[in-house]
Amino acid sequence: MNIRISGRLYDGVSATSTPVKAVCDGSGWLSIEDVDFGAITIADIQFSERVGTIPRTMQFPNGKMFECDDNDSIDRWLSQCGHQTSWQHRLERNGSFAVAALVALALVILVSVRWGIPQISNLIAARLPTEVDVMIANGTLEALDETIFERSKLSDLEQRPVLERFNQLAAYNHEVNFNLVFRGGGWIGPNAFALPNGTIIVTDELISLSKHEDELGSVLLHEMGHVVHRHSLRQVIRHSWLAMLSLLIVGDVSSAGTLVLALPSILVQSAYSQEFETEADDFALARMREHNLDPTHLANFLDRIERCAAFDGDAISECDGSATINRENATPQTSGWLRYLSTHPTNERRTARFRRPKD
Amino acid sequence: MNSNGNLPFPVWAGFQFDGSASEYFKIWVVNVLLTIATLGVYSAWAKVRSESYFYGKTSVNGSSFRYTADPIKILKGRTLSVLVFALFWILFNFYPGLIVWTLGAALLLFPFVVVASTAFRLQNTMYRNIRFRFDARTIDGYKAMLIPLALIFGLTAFIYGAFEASEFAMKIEAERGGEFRREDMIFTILLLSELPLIPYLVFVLRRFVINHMRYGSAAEYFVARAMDFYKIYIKFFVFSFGVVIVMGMVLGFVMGALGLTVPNELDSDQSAAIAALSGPIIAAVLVFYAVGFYLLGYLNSRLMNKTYNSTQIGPLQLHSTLRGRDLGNLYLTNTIAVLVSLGLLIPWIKIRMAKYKASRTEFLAKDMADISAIEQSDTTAIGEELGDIFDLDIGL
Repeated sequence: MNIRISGRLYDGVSATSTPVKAVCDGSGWLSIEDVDFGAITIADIQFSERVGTIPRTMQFPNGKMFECDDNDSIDRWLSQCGHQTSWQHRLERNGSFAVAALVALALVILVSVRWGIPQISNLIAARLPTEVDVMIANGTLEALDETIFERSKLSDLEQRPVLERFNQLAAYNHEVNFNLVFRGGGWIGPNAFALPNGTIIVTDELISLSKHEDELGSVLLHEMGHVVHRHSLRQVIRHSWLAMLSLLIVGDVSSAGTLVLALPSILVQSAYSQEFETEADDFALARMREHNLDPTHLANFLDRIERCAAFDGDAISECDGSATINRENATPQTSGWLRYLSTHPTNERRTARFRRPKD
Repeated sequence: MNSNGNLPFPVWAGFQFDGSASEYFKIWVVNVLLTIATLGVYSAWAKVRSESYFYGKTSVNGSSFRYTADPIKILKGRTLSVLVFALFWILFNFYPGLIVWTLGAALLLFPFVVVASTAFRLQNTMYRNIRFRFDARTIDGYKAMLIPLALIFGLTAFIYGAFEASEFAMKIEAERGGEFRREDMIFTILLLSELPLIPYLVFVLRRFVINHMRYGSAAEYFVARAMDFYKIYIKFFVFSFGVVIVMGMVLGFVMGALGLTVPNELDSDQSAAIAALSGPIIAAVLVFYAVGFYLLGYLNSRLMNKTYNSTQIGPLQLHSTLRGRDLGNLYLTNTIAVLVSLGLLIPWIKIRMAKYKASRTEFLAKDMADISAIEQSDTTAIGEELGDIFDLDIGL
């Protein structure tokens, strides 16, 4: 049976078009009505893909092109001659598949963010030599010294017990080359940092805030946990995967003018960061039990640091355990939904784990 | 649609975009799902289907455009660009000492990317069975862009060199906080030293691309001057600056009227003060974002109008009448729509943006039959994909 399709014929030499009718027969031959065109077999015709309802074209070997809006007739002729509609178009015109795809998409995103990305990143990190961690840390301490830290005001005599304690706690581990440095915290105040090469930085302000040598020891263990679990490296890898995933989902949407695509990424990154803090806490907790230290020391210390964080850096001397500050007021940044933007778990959640009796 | 005035063209032909959001939504969902399921491999096919849809639904004078790219070529280009991107990522992150040279190498790739991606896109654009072409060779791209790129690189390297060694750098970084890598500042410096050169670079790029475009036997000519682009950017910066000042004054006035002050001493009342301040500050930030969309709308509409209205295709003339406030409205509502719908409205915002742009673009034609096809050579997809992943928007 012949199929007649109305469309336009372009000669490929000028941009003019002629309205024509194509006559397609069941044995796969095409001719054009009222035009001296000859017959062309279906095997020599290049059909454009069917995408939505855009015009369909047939490109002929002689450079001429037939274009029409009658997608269905072309598909009918194709199937008469034993050709199938493209599988993509069959998916794309199917409304229920679209719904199913949406559900699948939500699941895929959820699963890859929650499990896929962390697992793959851990696998990759495990295969990378520790030299990579050292490379990431390259030049960081120097940059920090130039920008934030000041020279430590502690004397050798004051540093020595901390250093001894540190070496004691670090002694069990032979894979990482741990190294403790003392610095004035500058505007950062009481804090401790771990660089991926095993250098741990502790500020004078943190040392003067500690009331018990095990308090400081617990923080040092927490920082060692970051190094041992290679959090810097894993974070870099996770963030790269995350960037890739959002690129795959969103593609090029900038042309339509939206600037909000960074937001979901930031939320996920904070969640990953909280996970790392918890892992470092676990490490500290396990080591403290090993060394028969009381885990409540870390809880007490965290509480005190948090209370002092509410003060100006200068006010630290007033900031001791006896200061009576309403805790709710002192931690406005950890309440409510803002918690999801925070890089650390809330202090209550953290300290509760250390106050819990040994199970 | 438009009065002819005294232009020598008898026919005005408006662009038309008649895609539908619901139809494109189904195409988009399949694209995204298959892209993720194949870990990105399908993205090449997804791009062809998506572009085909937008080209096919854009018509002028009753005929629509066709996108004829081969997904395999796009896939090859995409693979290569991922490798190049990874190389630069490693260089920028692990070799901070080489950062100036890494940046130089990236800038050196730019003309290659422009030429290859423009050639690929144009050769795969058909209208009335005649292909567009790009007749520039890579070397022409280097000749055209050498001066602005050398200026940008020289200025950035010079300022960064001075900055790296200065105490000022440390102060700035200490104030910004959390920015531990001084090397990252090179991008800020790049941006700042580019600032006076951006209008010139944009002008050079568009002149180069348009002067080398061909449709059939018709050459395209770009008749704007660098000064036109400087005027647009200077107006944009004056407006932006004015907005910042006015908003600062309004915020100060509102806070003063409400009896709020920024606390000097942080004490136990701190949280109350922060809570009281956060309302106006959050409001100010939101208003600032909203105004930013309109400023951006102003800039993009003027740039596009200037470009189109300076473009002649043989005996034909392009004409664009985008309005800043329309684009601003679109940017603002598009952003809200994507946020509220968790991304589900992305297809819709793409469709409505294409609709608006087409409705404001026209084409002056005398006789389409004059334009005859020229022989065609093939090109690879490499440049196109580098352009994609580096997001070098070379929008025409």
